[in-house]
Amino acid sequence: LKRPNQQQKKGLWQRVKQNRIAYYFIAPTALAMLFLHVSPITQGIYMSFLNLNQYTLQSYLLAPFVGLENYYKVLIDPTSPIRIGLFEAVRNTVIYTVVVTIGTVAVGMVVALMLNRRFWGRSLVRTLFLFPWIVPTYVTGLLWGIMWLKEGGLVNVLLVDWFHLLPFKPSWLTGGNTMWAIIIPTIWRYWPLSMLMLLAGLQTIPDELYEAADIDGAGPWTKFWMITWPMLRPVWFILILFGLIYNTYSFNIVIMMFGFGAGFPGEWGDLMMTNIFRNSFQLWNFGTGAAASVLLLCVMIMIVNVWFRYFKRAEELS
Amino acid sequence: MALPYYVKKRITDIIISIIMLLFLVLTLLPVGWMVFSSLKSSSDIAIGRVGLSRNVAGQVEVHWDNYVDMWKNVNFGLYLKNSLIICGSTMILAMILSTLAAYALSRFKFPGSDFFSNTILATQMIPAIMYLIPLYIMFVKFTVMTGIPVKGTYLGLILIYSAFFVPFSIWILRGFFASIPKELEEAARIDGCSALQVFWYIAPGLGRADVRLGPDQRRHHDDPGRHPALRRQLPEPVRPDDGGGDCCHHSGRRVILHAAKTHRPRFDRRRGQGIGGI
Repeated sequence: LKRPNQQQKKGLWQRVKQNRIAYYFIAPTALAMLFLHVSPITQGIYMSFLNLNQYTLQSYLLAPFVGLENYYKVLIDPTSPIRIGLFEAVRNTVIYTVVVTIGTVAVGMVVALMLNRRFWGRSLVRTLFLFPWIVPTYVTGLLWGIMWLKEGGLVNVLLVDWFHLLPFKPSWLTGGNTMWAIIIPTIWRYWPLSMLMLLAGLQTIPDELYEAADIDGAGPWTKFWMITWPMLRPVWFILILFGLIYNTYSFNIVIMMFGFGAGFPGEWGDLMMTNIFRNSFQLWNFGTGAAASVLLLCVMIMIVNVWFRYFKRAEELS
Repeated sequence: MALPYYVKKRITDIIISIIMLLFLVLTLLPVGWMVFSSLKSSSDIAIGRVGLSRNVAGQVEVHWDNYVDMWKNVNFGLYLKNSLIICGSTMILAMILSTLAAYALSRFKFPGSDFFSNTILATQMIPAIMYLIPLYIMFVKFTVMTGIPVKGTYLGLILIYSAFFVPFSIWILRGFFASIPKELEEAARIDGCSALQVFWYIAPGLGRADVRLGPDQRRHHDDPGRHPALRRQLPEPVRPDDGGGDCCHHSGRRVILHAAKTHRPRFDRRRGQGIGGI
């Protein structure tokens, strides 16, 4: 609880001693992370340099060292199974991540604004809106897999048989429609979280700002973009950050929707994670899978850094 | 149209409510479909039959027996028990670890704090699939070496789930701690609480603050004395009171309220709020 500028003057050891209690507080977490995060990841990175398949798995880290061959297989080798589907997987992952992240925040924002009024039954409606969030991701995949069916799936029944919005029944789980078939359930599953966080953020914005804007004659649109959105920056910063990370690594919903965990999602539904999973655990190429994971990890670190930098600059400009 | 202001407001309100209700129906539709499907036979679900199942004679039959099957044949009770044990223990363990760490990160600027929080964020960027084989082999070896069974046991799963749950919790909780005015804690320190005691009396109130979304929490930034974190009674002040004025017969809570109220409202709302207040 000391002022930071006083601390800067003191030596390192003195600052360590002064904050002893903080080290006690983080010690259990740091210890657990050393064993359960740092150590497996070091092994995982080392695995990406080994020729690790079903024959050599027994010797694990003593498997033959092959240098960068796994990376060659992922990026260049035109005959390796992971390289063949790589372009589609990357393209789909980029589209999927961007659309889902933006969609989740956008839907959450709209509903949070609608809920941030006084009306009868407010808490009941809010609770009901949280329902998708309690459906496990595996079940979400299964459920929507059934709902997207061409004949008798709920979506086609509603669109074609009941409301006649489309002249024919599209098949959602093959071809280009697959993209929508995986994006929509993911947004459906994840937007309640962003709604909840944005709603909490909305409630900390003081009313005086809106009153002042009213006096200046600002419309609702201006008020949103000049007051609400900037004031909520800490909330949507975290939401988009974790959204980008989690959606890139999205796996459960997609894998369960196609063949209940055993099928191939198709060229418009295959994501990086399903691709790596298929190569690691169905084709038994653990080394190649690890190499692809390491590459993905590097790309993610770069993206998150860019997002942090953008945020810092935006913070300085404001 | 020269409608009066309140009529216009009323009309907008009703339109927004209708849109909201439509959206609510759309949101709940898949959940409702799931419940409806649970009353159909499994073959009808697989072929995507819209209505309820029918028997050979063409009569509608509701398959309540799915629910009987669940308990009798699928052994649902066992899985429920496993989930409860693992989920409950994970929750307790992860909450303890992440509350402690998040509190330390938000309140102390110590050498290595930036490194620690960046490491936490970095763990979130690692594809979970990379952990699978190393963790499995580590757990097998650990079981053989120490005799503590972590492979195929509750303990192992609890450890893994906690490890994956803690980093995200730390990031969320840090925002909450940042939203609690520091003045409260300074006042508590003056009254003689140790750092650990401060943590103990602030943290539970915080937990309450983040599950509740009532309008009464709206203004706690303006008035730290009304912050939900204070709903928990603080202990009697350790320091003997000097017999002067207000705090004679008051509990520590009142003293802190008094101290907190004399502080001016926070001006750096944007920085302070984090993602707190949920």
